[in-house]
Amino acid sequence: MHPAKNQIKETLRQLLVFANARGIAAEFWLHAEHSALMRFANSAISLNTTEDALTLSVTAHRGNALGSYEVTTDITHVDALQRAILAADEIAQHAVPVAYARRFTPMQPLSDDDAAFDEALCALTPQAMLAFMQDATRGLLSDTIQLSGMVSCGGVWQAAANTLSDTVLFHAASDANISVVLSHAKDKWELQATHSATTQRELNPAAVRAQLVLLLEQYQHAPQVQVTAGQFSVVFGADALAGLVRFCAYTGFSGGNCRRQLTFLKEAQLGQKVFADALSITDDPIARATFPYAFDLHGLARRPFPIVAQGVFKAFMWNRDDADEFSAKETGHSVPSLSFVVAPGTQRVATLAALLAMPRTTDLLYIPYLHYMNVVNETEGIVTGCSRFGALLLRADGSVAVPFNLRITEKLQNLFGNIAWLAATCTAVNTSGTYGRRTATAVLAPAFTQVNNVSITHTNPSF
Amino acid sequence: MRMNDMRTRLRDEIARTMRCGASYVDVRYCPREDSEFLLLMQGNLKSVDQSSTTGVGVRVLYKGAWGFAAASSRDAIAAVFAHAFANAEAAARLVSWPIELAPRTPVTARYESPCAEDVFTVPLHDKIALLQQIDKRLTHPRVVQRMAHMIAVTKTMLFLDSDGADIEKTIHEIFAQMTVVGVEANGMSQTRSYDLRNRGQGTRGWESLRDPARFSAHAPRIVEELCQVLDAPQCPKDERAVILLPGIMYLQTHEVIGHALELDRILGYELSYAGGSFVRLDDFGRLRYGSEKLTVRADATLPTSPGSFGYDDDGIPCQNNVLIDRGMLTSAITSRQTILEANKKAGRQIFSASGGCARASAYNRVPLERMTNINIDAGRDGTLDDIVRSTARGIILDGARSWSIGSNREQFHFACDIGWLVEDGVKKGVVKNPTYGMDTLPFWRALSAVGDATTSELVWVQNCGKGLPSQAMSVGHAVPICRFDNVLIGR
Repeated sequence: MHPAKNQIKETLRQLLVFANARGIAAEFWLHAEHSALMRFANSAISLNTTEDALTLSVTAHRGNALGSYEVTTDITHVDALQRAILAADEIAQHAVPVAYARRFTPMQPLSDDDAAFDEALCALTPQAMLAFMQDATRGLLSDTIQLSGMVSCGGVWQAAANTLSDTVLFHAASDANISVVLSHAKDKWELQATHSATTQRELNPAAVRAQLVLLLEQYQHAPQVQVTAGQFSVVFGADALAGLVRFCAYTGFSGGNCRRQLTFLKEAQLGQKVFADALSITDDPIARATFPYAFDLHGLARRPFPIVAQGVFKAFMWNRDDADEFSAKETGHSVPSLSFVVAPGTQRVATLAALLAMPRTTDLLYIPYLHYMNVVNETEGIVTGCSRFGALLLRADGSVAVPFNLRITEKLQNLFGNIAWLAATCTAVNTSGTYGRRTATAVLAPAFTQVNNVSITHTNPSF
Repeated sequence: MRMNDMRTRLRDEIARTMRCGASYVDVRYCPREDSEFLLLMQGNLKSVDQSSTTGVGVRVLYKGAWGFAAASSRDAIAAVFAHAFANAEAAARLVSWPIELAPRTPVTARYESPCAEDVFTVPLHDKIALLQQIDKRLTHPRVVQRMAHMIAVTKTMLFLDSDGADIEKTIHEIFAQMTVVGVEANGMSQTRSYDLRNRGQGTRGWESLRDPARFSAHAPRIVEELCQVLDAPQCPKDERAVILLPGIMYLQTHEVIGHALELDRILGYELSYAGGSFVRLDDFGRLRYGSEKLTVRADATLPTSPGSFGYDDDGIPCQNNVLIDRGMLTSAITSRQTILEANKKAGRQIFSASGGCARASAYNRVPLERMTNINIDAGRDGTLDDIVRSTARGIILDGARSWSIGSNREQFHFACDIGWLVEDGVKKGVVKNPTYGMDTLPFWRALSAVGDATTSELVWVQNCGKGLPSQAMSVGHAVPICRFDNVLIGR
């Protein structure tokens, strides 16, 4: 049911003509999506959904005053789309100008950004979704071990334009975000394996099953323990590390938030070593696994953007409005989603089996996922969150135990500063939300990262 | 297309889908949802965003399995019904517990939430002017960032189902928040915020935001309190009584009573995302959740809250149900889908009827168990002053700065904007960076004082997240000032 690429681009061109004919200065962002989501619970399909939607966002400029109007409708309803332009302009007329100069620049003429789109993944059938889940859990389910999870797949077709030129930029991407959870019906523990794909060919239920098999073996046979709160060496899985990096986007790497006194990283730290030598983080629109955007909402071409290089803080990210407000240079970060890549390290640990087999001299907590993280204090960089989905206690004597859920409360500076090693193998962690419109995003992160001296501030006496 | 024409067309599609073998079909048609967001930062009008949405969502039950489809195109109605049915057919290939809907009498009804002055009829410059007035009141030499925003939503939804229900609802929502940021001498920042709320009376249109007592009059106070925090000592690491003002008590109630008592979570339907619940079916009628001072209701009949909506998205009239009665767990947040399954799995009748809590955030989302207004009954322990007087060592807390909850809602950690130490029954100085955390049941069982009705405020929550595909729901919490003994703070 989704509109074709040419139909989207032609519609935007017609809207440009409509706006220009009325002397309206405006920017357009058109978003069309097809989404399918099959949800599992209690070893059954609990919901099977599809959605097709189209939204046009118009931002009208009247000097330094802006007005925005967004309409969710059908691409054939040209009247509704045109009314959105008039409405945005009407709002801009009555809006109050800001006290700084707002840039309004022509779109850079760029090639269509749709090479990664895979129709087969976008149109994955319910039968194929169910088959993936059955393959990933074959032989693992029972009356007590139950399946939950989701297979979310779909595609987006997006186009950007403004009235300063007739350039229409186009982006399309397909994505799959898969979570397979095994839970114990009575003991309340949960294991998870996640999977991200940009094309149908990348779907690999066998890899998901291998993760589950190993975790399930530990959870069914290893003793359960309540660890004592205190300092621990923690090996974070890629999901957990991706979550921590994403928190940095707001509380560390945002130039606007820094000027608003809401970040733990300050401008005086630019060029200084703030994290461990082993850590490099880039916003990399070339990393296809992150579902990147080649251009931002204002038509600015995006390029790899080093944020942290070998522990040294290189740059803040600036979206256009923040850059305008604080007289900074925008960096192509007015985007629906970022493309964080954490550079791999040198530790040859690609799988959980390899981690379990790795010689160790101290107890290690393996935490694959952090649940319900939040920022306790922005400028101190303190975050908190709980272990979930398959944590393990890897004892120094080589034995393994299953820890009840525990809470980490720690400064991001310490978590990224006390890195002992990062795995040489990276994995794509799909961090897409399903609130609002479909926006695929992923973080490419080392499969495992050991961090020393992590504060465990609360431990549960049971699951 | 006019509403009655659309009604006829949708009924035809429902009948056609039933003839295909569906056991139940419902449709939610949204002819229009308007929203408006205004954001003022440092006096700059950063955003004036309006939006308009239309669409249709169809839910089909087939051989005990749900299929759902939605589209923003009104021209695609037949296709949406067909997709929903096909999705249900596909889901029926893997059913472990065939879904049964609890019986109810279908109703024909109209509902509109109370609104004296529609925000969308108010001239834009009046709305901007109000935010600018608030911004002026937030201006202070020690405030480095000032933010004020308002969000308004008006949506109309037509609900029809194959049992004959026909409900047309128009809901008016308004939310607002103001925040100030200051910087300590050491460069660390502090924030203080206040959200639009009420005391359970009034309406929910523009007039509620325009009423100084409900919003703008609080601006000087939060600035003053921010200045106190900037000069305050660090919150001690200690074990004390915590006295929670409504500005944090609402979230405490929301996170570790509300979410923990959603029956879909208890039955395991959220395990792959939002999480489960420490509550088991055996616990109903048997578990001491809190002290005898704790009585909790799911009250969707309050006229003035986003947790009141006339009829839920199963077509069930709103209700006022007791969830925890003098500390004992009695009921849950329920829908037609979950109560029969829960009763059968428990081997006894826990729930006699749906609690009317199935809600979807929009036409393109499926109904889930959602909080309505999860309220705590006012107590007999007087005012804040009375509670302070009876507290040997404590801390008064306000403002939700951070919240993080265990996946089964079994423990929690909160950070607040501001704290005031209490020593020997006297309110002392302000402390900064106050936090507290504990296991859920010991916390509620340590409830030792509940303020009277004069301390109760109805706090609105705009963005309660849950479900896949995810949904942000608005709810409310009428909560008095409460005291809990022996809580770890400052960690």
